[in-house]
Amino acid sequence: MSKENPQQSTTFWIFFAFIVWIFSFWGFLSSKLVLTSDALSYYEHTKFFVENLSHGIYPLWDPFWVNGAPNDFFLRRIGALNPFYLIIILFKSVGIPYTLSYLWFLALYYWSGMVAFYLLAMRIYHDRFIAYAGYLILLFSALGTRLFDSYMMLVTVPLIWFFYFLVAFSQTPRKHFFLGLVLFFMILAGTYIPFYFLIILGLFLVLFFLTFPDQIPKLWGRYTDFFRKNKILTVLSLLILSFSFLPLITFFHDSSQGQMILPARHGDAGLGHTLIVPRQTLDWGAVEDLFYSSFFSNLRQYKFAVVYVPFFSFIVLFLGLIGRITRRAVFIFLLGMVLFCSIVPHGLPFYDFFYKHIFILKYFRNLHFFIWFFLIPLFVLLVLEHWKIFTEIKITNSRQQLSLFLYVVGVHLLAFLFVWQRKDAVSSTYVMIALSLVLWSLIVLRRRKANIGRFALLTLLVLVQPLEAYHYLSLNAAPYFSSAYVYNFSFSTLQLKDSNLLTPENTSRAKDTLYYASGGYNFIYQNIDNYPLARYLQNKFILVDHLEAVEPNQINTTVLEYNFLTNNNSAIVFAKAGEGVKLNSNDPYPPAQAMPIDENSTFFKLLAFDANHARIAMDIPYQKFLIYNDSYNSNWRVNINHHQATLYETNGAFKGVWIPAGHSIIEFDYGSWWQYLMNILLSILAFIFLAGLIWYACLSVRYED
Amino acid sequence: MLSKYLKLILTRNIFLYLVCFLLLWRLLDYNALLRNTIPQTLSRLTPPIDYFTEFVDKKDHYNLFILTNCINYHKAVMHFYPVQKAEALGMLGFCYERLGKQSQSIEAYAQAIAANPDYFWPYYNLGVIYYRQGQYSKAADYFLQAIEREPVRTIVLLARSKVYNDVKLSKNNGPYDYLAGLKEGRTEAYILLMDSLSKTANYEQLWNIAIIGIKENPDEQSIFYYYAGLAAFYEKSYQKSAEFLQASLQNNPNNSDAFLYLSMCFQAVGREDLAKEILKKAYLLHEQGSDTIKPYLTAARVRFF
Repeated sequence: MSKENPQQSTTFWIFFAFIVWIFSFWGFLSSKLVLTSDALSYYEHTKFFVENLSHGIYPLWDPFWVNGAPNDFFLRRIGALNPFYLIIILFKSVGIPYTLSYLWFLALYYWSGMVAFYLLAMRIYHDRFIAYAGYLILLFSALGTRLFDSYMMLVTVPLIWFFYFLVAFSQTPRKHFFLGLVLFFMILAGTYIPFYFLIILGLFLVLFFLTFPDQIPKLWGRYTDFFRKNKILTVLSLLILSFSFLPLITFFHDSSQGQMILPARHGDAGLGHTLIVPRQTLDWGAVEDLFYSSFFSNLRQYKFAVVYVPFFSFIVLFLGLIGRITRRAVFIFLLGMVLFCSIVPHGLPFYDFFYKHIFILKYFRNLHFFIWFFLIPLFVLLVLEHWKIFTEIKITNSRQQLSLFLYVVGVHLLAFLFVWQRKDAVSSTYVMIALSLVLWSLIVLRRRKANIGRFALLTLLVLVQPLEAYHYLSLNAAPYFSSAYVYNFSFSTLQLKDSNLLTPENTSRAKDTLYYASGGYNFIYQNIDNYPLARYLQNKFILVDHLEAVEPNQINTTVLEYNFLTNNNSAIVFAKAGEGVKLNSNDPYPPAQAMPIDENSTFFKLLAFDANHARIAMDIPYQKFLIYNDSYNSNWRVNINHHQATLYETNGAFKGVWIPAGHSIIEFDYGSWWQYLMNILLSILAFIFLAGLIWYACLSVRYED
Repeated sequence: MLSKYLKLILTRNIFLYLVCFLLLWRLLDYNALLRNTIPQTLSRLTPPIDYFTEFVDKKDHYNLFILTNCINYHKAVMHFYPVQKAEALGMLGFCYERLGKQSQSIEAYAQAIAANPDYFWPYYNLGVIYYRQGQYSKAADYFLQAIEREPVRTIVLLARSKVYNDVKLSKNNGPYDYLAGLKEGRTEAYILLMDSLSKTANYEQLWNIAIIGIKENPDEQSIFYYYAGLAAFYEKSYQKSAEFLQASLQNNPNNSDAFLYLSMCFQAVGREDLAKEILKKAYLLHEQGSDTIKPYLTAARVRFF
């Protein structure tokens, strides 16, 4: 970190700031404080994914989610194509527990996004100090807090990387920039709602070409030159890129069949596609998010989901107001402004128009996520632009210098008065204003400080306020408790019987709206009382002798409820008219009641079990119908003694099959070969892209050296 | 010269922002925006009311955080729903008192009274705060004003209140029986008023209040007869005092305080033996922990239903 080597110096400060960041969030990163809200669900589904992956299983089915549901939805949510999940597997392989592996992965992944922001700022401003200021402001913005209550960074981080590679590739077309561009496009396209990204990218391109029309020929020349020189790489990458949409397309296709539904999300959106969200879920938008955050100006009350950017950035923004308009400032401002105005469903006319005419807007709610995904980083870029504009104001004589100095003092005085009149500011805000005054006075008075002094002062003044805010966040957050995480069991074992004592008195009658479930399960859950259903579901496997065949969707839930309550030796299966269904077993003396299977059932043995598969050995004297109380889906297959058998949708939601007398091996399998191939291949390709990107980046550095 | 300055102004960043914001302001339907934003935001600001209605006295940070959130929320309600100001201020007073900020609590309750003089609870709560501070004269003043409120007006107020509706919604069919709460609050206000009057030696008024209370509170007759007896005793009407105290003991034979004053009555009229015997009984009952009035006095806390 000597004066002579600014690169080393900046690297030191980038690491230093990250260590301070870790320190401020140590409560969460050491798992003393608990993840909440969406972060909790992402933690669990990521656990399910990576633990299965580390055992060589690509989990397309989740048997533990509301009695079984296709896992594709959660795979799209976590962005399963993201090769960075390997970090968790690496941590786990050296003995670090999953919770810490996941939390540290979050921290590292987030940090990588902040480094990408620094690199992006360097590409735009060619000034280490300004880029470092942007890195600090963004690193200590509220974006980092969302690691622990949301999944924002799964979009924000690849988005920042994407734009870094886009800018870098446009400036200097190199292979590693191109690969980076493709990799992060792939990651962003692989999530279940890539629309945020596609809207941002579309708007970015339109406004860029409107603001910088003279750049189009230059860029076109550079791109075509690169493509001419790297035809195979380009064609292959673009081909893979288009394939990366396949999991999303199949997911949309599957969800349109009604086999999986999202009742809480879909709400009363009507009979359309299950992924469509009703209009009223848009009531919480960007304006509401900002308005809500304004109630937390007292940082002692700081908590999750409160939009916060270190206050220093507003001082910079004000300083730049007197600077000369640049095209870049216009572009950044318009990009933010147009996007913001387009996502306000109440009070402005644009959103309604877009909602009617752009179909993708019907598929996602949470418009305020744009703030977290894009508008905060964009705001920081605008702050940096103002910084640049302000420092570029020409000073030709000491009078102008004095005027500028007085302006700096005036802005700081205003900031002080604004904070003071609110009466609720934390003390660090005043310290920050004082330090900022020192920094900007030195800049205006052209008092060049040594690198270390400048960087130390900047670091201190940006960090002092967020450190206090995040201290309060840690105090205000819930501490870890033993049942905080649900998915803390082995995914390769299946409990045959739930041993919890169940009585009508201790079973709640209240019905929740399920977030995500198989269509069949949601139907019986909503139409059958909780007690009979819970009683029935205590056993994963049940044997019955009699069947009643009904047309799909014509099930009588009263009969079903009676069967469940009385443990009747009968089940209802779905069969189309004319489809011959065997209705009775060959047992001459069938019992009156169904036979639930548990660990003591000697004729039944669960030989193998994982997310997509269950292998069972049975030895029974007479034919019986085996009900597997795991949701039915048309992608499930069953083989008995290596011969495919008919799998019935049983009791409205579950799987059932006739088992012959004698010894049998029954295998339940989920998914087709092409589903596994597609997912695994794309994951491998994403990894190859990452490896290629690192390889070419290293080569490029060596070449440049 | 002018064009130079004009050019200077028109090329500044601030000009760009001003133009954009003016354009936006022209397009914006401010009322439509607020119609959605305010209720949505308030709904999200709503603190976990289940928690703070349990009158938690913990001094930990979480408690502080929840109460601070409550303050934040009710300030917002007060700001955006002026018709709910009294109840919101009442809640603010409650939260401040729980945080130990008594002066702010008193200020909030006083403002709540100014916003709606019919609202029972701020009077009651101010009485409790002053009672606990040992300012019995002020306490008596507020308790007196509290019992003078028309209960039906408070009930109407609570029934229409968003603040109270939030409480109702926080636990479906929860134990938030405002009517029973108000009844209980009025009885407590009477008892605390009578105790404040006795502590300020205002026996004449105490006697009157006790007589009114006997008519209004059939459930707690023993306590009212007791205070009537106490007032009569200090007014030197020993005969009347003994009658009241005996009536009190008829309603509650374990009222040790009534026995104590009954003993003093007998002592005052020279029946020492009987007085000693009754005093012994009073002592025994006191030892057994069967004080009737003390629990009311020590348990008095600010409340909102």
